[in-house]
Order: sequence, then structure tokens, then C-alpha cells
Amino acid sequence: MKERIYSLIIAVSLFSSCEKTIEVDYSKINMTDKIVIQAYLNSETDIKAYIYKTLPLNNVIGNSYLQSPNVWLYQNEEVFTQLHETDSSLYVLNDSVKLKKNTDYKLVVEAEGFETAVSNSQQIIEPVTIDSVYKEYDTIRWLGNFYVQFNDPNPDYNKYSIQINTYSRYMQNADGFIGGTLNDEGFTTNSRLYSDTYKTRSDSAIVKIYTYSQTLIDFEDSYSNYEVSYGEKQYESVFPVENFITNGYGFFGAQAISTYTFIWEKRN
Amino acid sequence: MHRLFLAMLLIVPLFVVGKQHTVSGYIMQQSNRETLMSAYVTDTLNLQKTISNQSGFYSISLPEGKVCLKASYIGYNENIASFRLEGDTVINFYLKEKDETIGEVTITAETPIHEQTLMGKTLIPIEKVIKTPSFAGVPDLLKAITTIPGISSGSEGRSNIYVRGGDRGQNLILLDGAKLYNTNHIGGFVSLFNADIIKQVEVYKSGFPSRYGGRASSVIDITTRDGNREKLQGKFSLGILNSSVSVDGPIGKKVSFNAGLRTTYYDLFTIKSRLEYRGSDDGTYFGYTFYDANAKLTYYVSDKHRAFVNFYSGNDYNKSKYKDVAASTIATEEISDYNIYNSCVTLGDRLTLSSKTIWQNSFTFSRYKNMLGTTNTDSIYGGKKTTDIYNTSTSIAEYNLQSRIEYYTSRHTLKGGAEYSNYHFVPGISHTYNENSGSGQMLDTIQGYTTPISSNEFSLYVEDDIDLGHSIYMNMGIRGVLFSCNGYNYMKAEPRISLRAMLGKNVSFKANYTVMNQFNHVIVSSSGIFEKEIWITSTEKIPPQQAQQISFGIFGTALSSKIELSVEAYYKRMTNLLEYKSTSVNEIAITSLENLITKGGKGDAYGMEFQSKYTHKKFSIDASYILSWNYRQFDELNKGEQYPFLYDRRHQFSILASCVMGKHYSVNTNFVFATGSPYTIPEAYIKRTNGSEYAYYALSGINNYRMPNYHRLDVALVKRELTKHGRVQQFTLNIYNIYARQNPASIFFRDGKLYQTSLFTIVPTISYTLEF
Repeated sequence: MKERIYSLIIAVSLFSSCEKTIEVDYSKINMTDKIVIQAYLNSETDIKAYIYKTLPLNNVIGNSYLQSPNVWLYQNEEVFTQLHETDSSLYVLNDSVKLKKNTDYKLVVEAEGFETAVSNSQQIIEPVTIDSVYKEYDTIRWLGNFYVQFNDPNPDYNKYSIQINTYSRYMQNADGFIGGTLNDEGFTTNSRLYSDTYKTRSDSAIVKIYTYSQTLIDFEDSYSNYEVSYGEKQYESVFPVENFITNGYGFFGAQAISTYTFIWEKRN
Repeated sequence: MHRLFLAMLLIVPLFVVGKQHTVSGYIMQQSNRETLMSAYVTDTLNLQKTISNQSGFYSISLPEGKVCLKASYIGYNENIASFRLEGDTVINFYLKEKDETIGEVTITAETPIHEQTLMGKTLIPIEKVIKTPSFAGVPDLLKAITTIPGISSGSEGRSNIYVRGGDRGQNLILLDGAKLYNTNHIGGFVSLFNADIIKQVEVYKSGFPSRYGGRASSVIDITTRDGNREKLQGKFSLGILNSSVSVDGPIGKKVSFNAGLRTTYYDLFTIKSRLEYRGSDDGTYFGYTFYDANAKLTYYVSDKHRAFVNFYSGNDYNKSKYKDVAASTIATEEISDYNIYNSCVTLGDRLTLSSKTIWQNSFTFSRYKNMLGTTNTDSIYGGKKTTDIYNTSTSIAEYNLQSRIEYYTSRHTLKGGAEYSNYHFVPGISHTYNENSGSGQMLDTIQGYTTPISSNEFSLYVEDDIDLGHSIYMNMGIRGVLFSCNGYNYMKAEPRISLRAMLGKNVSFKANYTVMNQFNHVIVSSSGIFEKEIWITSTEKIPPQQAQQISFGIFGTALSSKIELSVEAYYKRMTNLLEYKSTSVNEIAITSLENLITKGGKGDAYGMEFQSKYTHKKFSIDASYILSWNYRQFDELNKGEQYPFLYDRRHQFSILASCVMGKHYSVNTNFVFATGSPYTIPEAYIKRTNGSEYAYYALSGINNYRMPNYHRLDVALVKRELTKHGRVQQFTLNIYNIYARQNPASIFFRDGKLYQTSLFTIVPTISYTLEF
């Protein structure tokens, strides 16, 4: 009984928190719609650019589709080609266009009623070379340790995303996914080793390693920080998502993908 | 600039007129022989006066002949000594408290503000701490300090200190000379100072004497009581959040002691829950406790020599358990332990070498450690158990040696000394371990060092309180610091100067300029209500923070110092500030914090502070208004543009009033108002209608909006009376936020609307105190 009374007093007295809605004076906030660019430079023939517009704060479930924008690709500060829409809001290169390595590219988007949005510049980046894939078993915990050994030609970038899909011929439900990110700070050579654990019995795997440009890393990191901090009272300040677009929002990032298929000789 | 200060120190002549002798001694309370700081000694014939120092010592040089010395201290009867001065003389004064009724404790006041040379200094008698209505009825030193203009507490209910735009880690907090690196219990809702053992507190927000260094924004110098030298006495307090007991008294003729213990007892009431948890297969358990233990021994070797040892230890401990038996026979138990340790030891020695000279030495050890441990136990595959343990901790330890000499002449008070600190940092160690396989790894998550980082700080300082004549007084000093870490050195000079010119009998003009450097930095990460302060050292990559401050103002009194009025303006420039640029500090896989924080930040804080006080025997009121601006700028944040600091509050207003009603009752009230804190809200929402990887609110800038204004009224009703055994007892009804104002604690944006969470809309508490 004493415990309940004490707990009640403590609860009522100390943690009598409440929540209420307060009015926002939107006149103090700049609410002009702007162009959003979220674009990836994937290879010499592949750019995926999602082009749309921001939504006003008082209508966040509205339609963000941007009508008839002109999406230009600039090469070394000169107009190179125009991207066309293949799916709703998705703009890509024409089939005949081939991009060059060691060359700066940026996107410029024009749309009626909007300020012209200009992206940051990017170059094509080299994919990593996957040298070997192997696994070992921890027989005590019945866990597999999965290893991916690869060579990184991009000393300027320090993050990879590794996706490993495992498969089994004998157990239909054994397909699994493992993976994560690897920072390469502190390494003195280009050789990298990634390891992870998993419980699934498998006999084959497809390994994909995504290498990101610094812009993409910075954007992803800031987005991650934003997701953690926004609306959480333990952080004194909200971390904004980094913006790389002039007169708009978003980023133009480069990434490269390496794929490696691995089949075990016999089922473990 | 620094050379100019040094030259002025040497050039200012010592004015000595005629044949003079020195009268010196200590001013003490008659009832317990505790020394009194800032008490006056006035020669009524020669119209010269002096003020006792922090240890109650005074020294005054007077012309040979008849003198009539009057020792006075507000709240005490005057004591007069009249004699013919023919040589250096020692006289100790024992002052008797004026009001010996059991009514409200009389608040002792410091030197009238217009007569203090140092601007920005406030002396807080412990009675004020006890009287200030506080959260949950616990007398809280740090919350009482936030009633000083220019000092704010930050978040609702917490005991953090932000001084004139500074960060919470920029405050030098000393307990009998030992630095404290963390001052919070229960995530900051209670500070770790047991009011029962404290004698007085000096707070500096500007005009720092050169004997203080190592922090950029403020100094809070706390002195504990030596203990009653006449009789054994004690105090017992029972509150809703915690209880405390303190005892002090003599041990023989030459030793006194003062000891206190404070603890919460929440865990006592959860014994049943703990037992139930043990006996069942699933459930949850939450336990929390904290304690403070203080002990001080003072050895009076002779009238001229005293030594003391002071010890403090405090701990917050939280254990939460969760277990669940699922249908799949996989049992999971998760046990979390959260521990915060604070401890310090001071060995001090004070020797009166002559009537003009005092020599003080001290050795201190301080330690702060914050540990979080998680143990996960899984039963898998046929009942075989596996246990994973994850521990993370951060700590700092400091060994400090100080030696100081004070020399008094008729127009000078010279203080010079040396200080050496050796620091050991373990900013962030995480330890993972699997009980079955025996595999584990130790990883430094913060600065990338595999062993504790050690750094050294050596300082030399000199300061002089000078009477320049013509009612002009000056405190001038310089502090030189050499800091070394891993072979990398920083050398800094810190000039300090304060000036006071009397404009009339009761009005003075004051100005000061100070430079402070900070070599140890705190960054804060949070987990729920708990905050983890991580101390990191300056390295080659992290330069020391620096604050330069200039302030000036007019100070006056009226009606025999019953009314005090002041207006003060200041400008503070901070450089090399640190800030997070990532939230990842809470994650395990961090290799170096140096890459997660942004450096080279600048801070600008400026404003004006108005204060008025009226003190009467039965009634006192203290009102203040602050108009201030406070900004930050980091190249890597907010596109490099300046933004408002989180606690930038344009207007702040407070009234602290106290009224004695009859013989037994008194009412204390505290009203505070502040412009809402800046907060970040978006200017647009980004989400592709037909699906997108990224959906987020676009933020135009950090802290671009303001929360609603903050205000609340706290009231404490105190009944103080004698028991039938002749002991004093006190009942206190404390109501925090009496009109249940829903003040914003945090704000978040959802579906085009702002939502506000409020804490502590009204908190009534009762407490009981018995003095014996």
C-alpha cells in the first residue's frame, strides 16, 4: 500500500506531463514552393533523377508532382543533354547518351512558377572490386560468420553499403538478407574486410557493394541524424537534412555498385 | 596588452602614510565559532575599513595611536574593540546573532553592492538557498543560483546552469576547492549539493579574479561549514523526494567535524516488486536511488594555523529489468544498470604567517564516472543460455595542487599562487562480451585512444585589490596557463581587470574586462531523462575555448543599504566552441568523436541586467529584468550563418519575495518569466507523392522559431516552531508552478501543427525538518 501511495505521489507530482496543440504563425515562415531534386549518377549510361516539388506545411498530404519541368544535364558547366520522364517524377538519360569519367555533371531544373533549381556537381565513381566471399561457422551459437573481402579504389570516400542476399536450395524459407555499412577510416591500404553474422543455413549468396560519393554520404548522414533528432526532446537541437540544391531541396549524388555471386561447393 | 597589465601591477606604488601597524584576526559567529566572510571591520576614528576574506580573515593597517574597531555583519550584533595601537595586533571578533527567536532565519547579506570592487560577483548565503521555493521542495543550490540575473537554468525543472550565453560545461564549480564535473541527480532535476552542510557560495559571472581559471563562463565557489566548535548539533529533513541528516560539532578542543548524508528511498518501496519479479517468468522492474555523503574535519592547529580534509561522494543508480517467456520457449531477460559516480577529496591548509600574510595550500582529487551496462540473456536451442554484455562508460579524474599567498597592506591586497592539474580522461569506452564464447572487444568510442588520455595544466597567477585613492578601487591580475596533452602544448595569458569608482556616497560605477580559457570540454548526450556528460580534453585537433567579456554598470544603495539598485551591461565573445554535427554519439560503432563534433564555433552574447532589492527584517523582495541576445556560429552548421543559441531569451523577469508572518509562519514566493526558447521548425515538407526513400521536413535554419513564453509562480509556506523538547522543527508546503502553467518543455511538428509537451504543471510537496 505504501508503495502504491508513494508511487502515486511521485507519478502525479513529478511526472505530471501533458501535451497540447499550439498555433503556428505561418506568416513568419517562408512557405514558397520549391523544386526538389533527388538524383543518382550510377554509371556512364545511368542517371536516375526524381524531380518534384515541396508540399506546404499546412497540406503535407497534397500532391508533390511537378508539372512539365525541363531537366537539363550540364557537363563541365555547359548544357549537355536533357533528361526525359520515364515514370511519374523519374527522369533518365536518353539511350544514346554516354557520360565521361573525370568530368563534372550537374542538373538544372526549370519549371513554370518556380525558381530554377541548380544541383551540386558530381563525377562518375569507380566500383570496388570484390576479391573473395567466404563464411565460417560458430558451432556453439550455431551462427555463420560471413566475410567479404574487397579492394577500394576510392580513397576519398569512406563508406560502403553492403547487401548480402543468401539462398538455399533445400530450405525454401531460408532465404535471408544481411548487410550493413562499413566505414573505412583508419585503413592504410585499399584492402577491406567486412564480416557479419547470420543464422540462416544457405548454399549461395549474391553480394552487392554500393560505394557512395561524399555528397551522398553527407546527405544520408544528415538524414539519419534528422530522423533521430526530429521530435525527440533529448536532443537540444534538430539536425537539418543537408541541402545541396540552390533554389530548391535535395541532392545529386553518385554511386557505384559491385556484384558478386557466390555458391558453396557443398551444403553446410 | 598583457605586458601593460604586468607593468601596471609593478608600477602602481604602495602608498604608506606615517607609522602604521596592522590589526588582523578572524571574524566568527559566537554561537559556533564558524568564520564569517565579507564582514566589515571599521576603525570609527580613522574612518578606514576592510572586509573579511573567504576564510573570515581580516587585516587592516592603521596609524599608531587610539583606534576603535567595529566588526559588523548584517544579521549580527556589532562588536567593538577600542584600544591604543602601538604595534601589530591580533584581535578575533565573535559576533552574536541578532534574532534568536525561532522565527524565520534572517538572511545575511553580502557587502553593499556599490562597495564591492568586483563586479559580477554574488554571495549567496545558504539561508537564501533554503528559502527559495524549489522543485519538489528540495532546497537546491543551483536553482537558487538561477535567480541571479544573467544565469538561467535551461530546461524545465533541471539544475543546469547557463551563464550569459555560455554552455553548461563552462562553469567552474568548486566544492571546498575541488572541481566537480557533474552536479546532477535524476538527470538534472536535483542538484548534488546538500544544503545542510554548505556555509556560503560565491558566484562570479564576470570580473573573475585571476585565482580562478579553466572555465569560460562562470565560477561557483562553494564553501562547506567547518562544524560547530562549541556543541554537537544536527538537522534531519524528511521530504517527498529525498531525506537528509547532518551532524556537526567538536571533537576535543582542536577538531571540529561536519557530516551529511542525503538519499532518496524510492527503492525501499519497491522491494515487493523486486521479489515478485524474481519469482515470475515475465515482468518488469524499475529501481532508482541516489545518495550524497559529505564529511569534513577541521583541525585548528593554532590560532594561526588550521587544516581540513573534506570528502564528498555521490552516486545515482538505476536498475531496470525486463523479462518475457514467449510461446517459442525462447526466454529473454534484459537488465540495464545506469550508474553515475561523483567524488572529490580536498586536503587544505591555511597558515597565518603574519598579521599581513596568509599562506594557503591544497591538494584535491576529483572524479566523475558515468556507466551504462546492458546484459541480455537468451535461451536458445534446447535451453542453452547465451549472455551478451555491453558496457559503456565515460570518466574524468583530476589531481590538483594549489598554493597561494595573500598579502595585505593598507591599500593593497595581493594574492599570488600556482596551480597544477593532472587530468585522466577516458571519454568513452565500450566493452562487449559474450559469456559463452568468451569473445569480447574493448573499443574507445570517443577520441580513438586505447589508453586513458592524460593532460596537464599549469598556471601561475597574481592579482591585486588596490585602493587608488579618490574613491577609486581596482582589482587587477593576470593568469598564465600552460596546457599539455600528448606532446601538444597551448600557452595562454589571461588578463583580468575590474575597476570601481565611487560617484557618490552610495553610488558607484564599475567596469571589468576578463579573458578565460577552457581546456576541458563537455559534450552532452541523452538517453531518456538521463543525460551523459562526456568530458574531453583539448588536443591538437580540439583547441581550447576562450571567452572575452567586458561589462560595466552603475550600482547604488539607499535607506542604509535596505534598497539596492543596479544596472549592468555586458558583451561576451566566445571562440572555439564545440557542437555536435551528428547524433551518432549514442551508437556503438563510433571510432572518433573528433569527427562527430564541429569545432571553431563562435558565440556572441550581450545584454543588460537590471536588479533591485529591498530587505527589511520581516520582508524582502528581489526583482530583476534581463534584456539579452545570444548567438552561435559554426562553419559546418546552418550554412555557416549565425543562429540563436538554444537558451537565447530576449526578456527575462523574476521576483523573489519573502515575508515573515507572526512568530512562526513565513511565505516565500518566486515568479519567473522568460521569452520562449528558440526552436527549429520547418518551412516545407518533402515527400514524393508516388513513394520516396526520403520524407522529411525541410528546415530553413537552426532555432528559427520560438516556443511560447515561459512563466510560473512557486510558493512555499513555512511553519517554524519549538517542539516540547525545545528543538526547532519546520514544516514546509512547497508548490511548484502553483497556477499550473503549461510551459513548453519540448515542441514537435506533426501534420502541419505544432505540439508542445509540458512537464510539472503543478507539483505540491511537503517536507519536515528537525534541528537537534
